[in-house]
Amino acid sequence: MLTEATDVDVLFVEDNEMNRRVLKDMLNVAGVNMAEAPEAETGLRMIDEGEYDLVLMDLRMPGMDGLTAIRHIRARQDEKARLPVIVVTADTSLTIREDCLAAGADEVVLKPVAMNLLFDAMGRTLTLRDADGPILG
Amino acid sequence: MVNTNSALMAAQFDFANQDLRIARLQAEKLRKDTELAESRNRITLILLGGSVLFGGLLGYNFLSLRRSSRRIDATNTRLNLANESLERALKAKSEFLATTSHEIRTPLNGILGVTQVLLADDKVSPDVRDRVRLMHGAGETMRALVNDILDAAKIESGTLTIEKGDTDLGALLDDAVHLWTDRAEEKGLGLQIDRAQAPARIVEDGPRLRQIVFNLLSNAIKFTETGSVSLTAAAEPFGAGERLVIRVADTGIGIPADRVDDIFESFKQVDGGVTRRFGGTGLGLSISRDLAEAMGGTLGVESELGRGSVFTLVLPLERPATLAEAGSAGDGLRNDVFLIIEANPLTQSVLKSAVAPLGLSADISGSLDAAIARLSAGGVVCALVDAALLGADDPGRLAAVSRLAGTGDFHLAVTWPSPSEEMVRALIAAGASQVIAKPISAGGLVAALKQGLETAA
Repeated sequence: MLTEATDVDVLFVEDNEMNRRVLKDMLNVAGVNMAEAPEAETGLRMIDEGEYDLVLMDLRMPGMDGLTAIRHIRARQDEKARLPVIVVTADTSLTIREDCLAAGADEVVLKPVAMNLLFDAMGRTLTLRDADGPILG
Repeated sequence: MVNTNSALMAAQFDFANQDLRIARLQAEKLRKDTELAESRNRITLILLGGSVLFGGLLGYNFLSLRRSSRRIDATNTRLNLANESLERALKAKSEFLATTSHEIRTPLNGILGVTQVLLADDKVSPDVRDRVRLMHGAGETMRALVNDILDAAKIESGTLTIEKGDTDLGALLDDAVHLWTDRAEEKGLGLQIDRAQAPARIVEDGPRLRQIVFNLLSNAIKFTETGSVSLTAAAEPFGAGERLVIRVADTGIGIPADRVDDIFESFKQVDGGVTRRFGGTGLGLSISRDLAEAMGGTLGVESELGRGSVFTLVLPLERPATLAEAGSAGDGLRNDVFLIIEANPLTQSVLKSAVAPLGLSADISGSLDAAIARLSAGGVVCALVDAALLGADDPGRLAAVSRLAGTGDFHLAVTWPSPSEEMVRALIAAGASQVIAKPISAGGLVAALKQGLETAA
């Protein structure tokens, strides 16, 4: 198995505890570790202090919403401004995809999350982020 | 629960629709009143002209004109009020739908998330797996219902958009049929597909076409107790161009001749008892016809009560300009497949997007056995497999390479952690076409594959 490709640290910013649990289990199927933040402010602080390869972001949260949090990440002055961000949302309004991409998200995955679509979005984001893509150990 | 909820939502949705219809009727009546008032006004003007000629009646006409213009003003005010309340009703309805959809999707994410994780777990016993699959199917149906309701609203408000692109018609039809195979088997129904006369790739709105085909198969299987369901797809000459004709035929209960038009109406199944017996919102066919029309085509049905029905979808056919017909139509098989043999779902996805620049269509096998079955089916030009998936030790791995290579004539690339020259020779002797040393970046892997394929060709 090409283990290195899945040796990524993911941060999931989501207020709903059940959704965090479910995504953690899903990522675990691929052997991926997931850290979690129950609101956007905590998420931004964790990004500030820790090292993550990819961020999964919910949109509707009490306090700061997901789109604002993404704009904060993109406005950073360091390397972390380029962090891959995938929006995970149950919002199906017509312009949701455009809104997310305009805020700086790389991909949008709709809830209920289909596991293969989540991994495809992660695979694309990780591959396209660097010219060479992830290292396959 | 599912039925109660969806029935409740359907009822609320229907209620909102009726409100809207009443508001529209009122607006129409007000419009007619205004027209009447306007024509009265014109008559009054003629009278006014007459009265000037005759003198004498000026005062009366002045009053009449004032009264009539007051009446028009009042009607206009009422019309504006009606318009405002109509807009409010529409806005309330779409907000209600958006919120309902969001609120249903969240718990559904919990249900479907857990079922997917359980189904991916090898340790789950077969009988438990069976029940989980049942739960998963019910969750998927619920997801489809929520999507249907949102689509119906989009169609009604005219915000539905069709986005055409290069579409793998063969895979789309196969997948749609595959999704219903289990359900058909459970009911003891045959389920056949014949797409020999259809092009492998077309320019169409793939997701929307998939939705129509999915709905037609769902409908056919739902209303058929014995016999079979079959899907045929074919290109037919039409005028100066071509059209795509997809037929879904069943041996089900059929539709009475006088009710054939009703089945394409929202929330109408042929009789009330049908909803109780077969479930569903009764939205699928209505949405499918609207989608077909938005795509520039038609959806119709021919049916005989007690014998079955044939639904026919006709769409304008456009073939992709750049791509030569990859995979012939005749044998229904593509011959441009890049097979990724890999167990980890994230690595599968990384590889899938990494090899996209090669221009081949990626297929995935999660195990050695699945790969051998897929390779034997044909159409694969290149396969990629990692040492770890081949077996626990070197002799086992070499034997696995032989088994893979023995399935046919294709380029077999094997990734291996820092292989010795001796091991490379042994792998090539066993049937590998190319050995790629790991670790390597995804970009490096693709470059190596490209070189390997060019050398072979």
